[in-house]
Amino acid sequence: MSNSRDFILNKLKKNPAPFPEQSKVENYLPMVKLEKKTPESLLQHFKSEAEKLSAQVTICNSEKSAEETFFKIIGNEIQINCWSAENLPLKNFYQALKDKGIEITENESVRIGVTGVNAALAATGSIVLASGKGRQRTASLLPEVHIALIKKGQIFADFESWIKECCKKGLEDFTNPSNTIVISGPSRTADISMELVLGMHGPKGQYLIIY
Amino acid sequence: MKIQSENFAKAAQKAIADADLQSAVSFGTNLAYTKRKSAVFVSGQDHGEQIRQQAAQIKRHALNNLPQLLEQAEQQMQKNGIKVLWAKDAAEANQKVLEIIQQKQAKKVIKSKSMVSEEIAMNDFLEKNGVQVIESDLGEYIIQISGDHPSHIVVPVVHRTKASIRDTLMQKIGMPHTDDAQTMTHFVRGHLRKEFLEADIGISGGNFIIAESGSLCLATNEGNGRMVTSLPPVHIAVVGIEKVIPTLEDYATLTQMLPRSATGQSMAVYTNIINGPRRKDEEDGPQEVYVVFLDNGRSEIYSSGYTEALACIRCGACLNACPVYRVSGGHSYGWVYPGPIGAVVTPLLVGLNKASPLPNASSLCGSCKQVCPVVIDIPRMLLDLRHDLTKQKKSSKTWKIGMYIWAKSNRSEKWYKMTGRLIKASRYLPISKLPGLLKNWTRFREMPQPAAKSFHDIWQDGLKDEDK
Repeated sequence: MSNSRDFILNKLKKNPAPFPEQSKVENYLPMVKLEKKTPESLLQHFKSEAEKLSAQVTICNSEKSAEETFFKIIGNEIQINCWSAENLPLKNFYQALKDKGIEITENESVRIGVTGVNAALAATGSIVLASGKGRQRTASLLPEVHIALIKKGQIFADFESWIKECCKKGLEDFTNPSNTIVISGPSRTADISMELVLGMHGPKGQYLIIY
Repeated sequence: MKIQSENFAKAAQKAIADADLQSAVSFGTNLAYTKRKSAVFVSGQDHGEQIRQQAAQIKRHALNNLPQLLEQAEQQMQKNGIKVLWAKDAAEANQKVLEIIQQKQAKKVIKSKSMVSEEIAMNDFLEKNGVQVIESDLGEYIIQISGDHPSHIVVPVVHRTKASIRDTLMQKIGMPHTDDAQTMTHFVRGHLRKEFLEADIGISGGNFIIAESGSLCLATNEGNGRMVTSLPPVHIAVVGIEKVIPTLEDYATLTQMLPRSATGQSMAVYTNIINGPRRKDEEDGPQEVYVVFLDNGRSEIYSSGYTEALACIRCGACLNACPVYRVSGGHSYGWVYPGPIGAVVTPLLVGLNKASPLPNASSLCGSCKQVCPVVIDIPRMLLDLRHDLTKQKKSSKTWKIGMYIWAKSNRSEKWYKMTGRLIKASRYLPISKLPGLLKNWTRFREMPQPAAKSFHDIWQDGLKDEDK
């Protein structure tokens, strides 16, 4: 086994650098140039980008109205696949679920998945979710509908600025979760005659509640 | 997959005569081509070009340090709990994957889309060894149940019409009749969902490996990439050694250039960063993650004059932009990687003698280089491959004699003018088809009538006018 390793590495090392004129990039340009980066403009930009991806975005002014929005979306559903209480930004959420008699389960047939986020990216309308204790991957993957609860303060300008923040915190922090997923809209495919269809394997619908 | 690249001309002729294929491929490639433009130039054309140069620099800088980056990636991955294996060639990679499968006594394997697995013909190998392999990307799944091969790096069934896909799904998995793409898609969703939940092992490729963090990165839209790497207890990724890049910042640029160039999306729906098996306190995710670093000819390319080909991030933009791919379709190229980049990579991986028509399957118009997110000079490499072909004396005698005469007449003013006069004189002859050796030039078109005045004549006349 180590033979192949040494064979490959030795063969590569025999060569001088193939592009000696190319050095490391000094100043990285971001993919998207954002004109304004005030919290309010990032919020609006995030909303409009996410909506382009077929997400349903609601901006709320209080925890209470965020909760109400949530219950309106789930309608008569009585089971949800949901991250643990300490991983959600709404403080009284679990109590409210209990009051309504909603059961939390990771059963595969559950139609609603509920998560928080680690970050939201304005430039591309994406949300970032890292795995961890009480932050199961299935909640944003198996159900037909994924609802993400986002705090306004979690919105970054773009993927680059979130990555920069990660570098600042250190690589150990970055690799602690076994999986970090950047989600941009509901699952989709256009494999059949280039016709866009939502909900191939992941959720068919994505609801983002921001407060 | 059997290499059939020597057959390019015949296969392309067949593709050109296939009306269904023509309309499907032309629609698909045109759409992707148009969408790419607005996505890459989202902040203006100048900015888009700068980003393209940045991505090109990142990839070339990474290739400069390839062996060191592989060592760093291995070390960081191991620190993250990933088991790293190395494979010199297809046979060794397949064997190592099979060993893991047998060790786990696994019966069912589910796969997400991976070009490298096509390259090493993994499905065939595993199936021959009694393993059930299921493709889960919609396009790849349709390909698999049809016994077909992908014809595009990103859209594997771009050559098939909706009606032909419908017929396959009805025949093979009992889908009720429908003409609606959404109904078809959701039928397959239900069908494959139980396979995800039952599979013992998930196999994926990889789009990038970040050396400093030891992360394996995937970009998918359907969600199968997440399923395959999250639900089964074991995840195996087979990744080409050229996929390793130094830093998270490099990754931020490249993982956005990829979907913008491929489908015109600003981000893939699932931009997936995998740092290892599930942690102690996590409820889900695989218990074991293996990554196989695959060489399979790449270290050979690394030391050749074609190192640039290893910068490719497999977005498929050059396919969509290529006038030859657009009419000949992907299968004509006769192996796994079609289009302009395929015409370079195929001869390098399987041998020039097994893919000799491919360097010539291009008009050298340069569109491929223009759309490439990492600015690979594909036309230059195609020309160099043609040069290699000539050196290997692969050209026919008639070709050589023709080129000799052409070179002679172009080197001498006297001969050049004489040929010009001869052509001009033929103006009044009723020729619409050329005879003999030249007949292929006019097989599908009329011979145009030569102009009354050559460019030289016009130029001379112009000079005379100015003199007055």
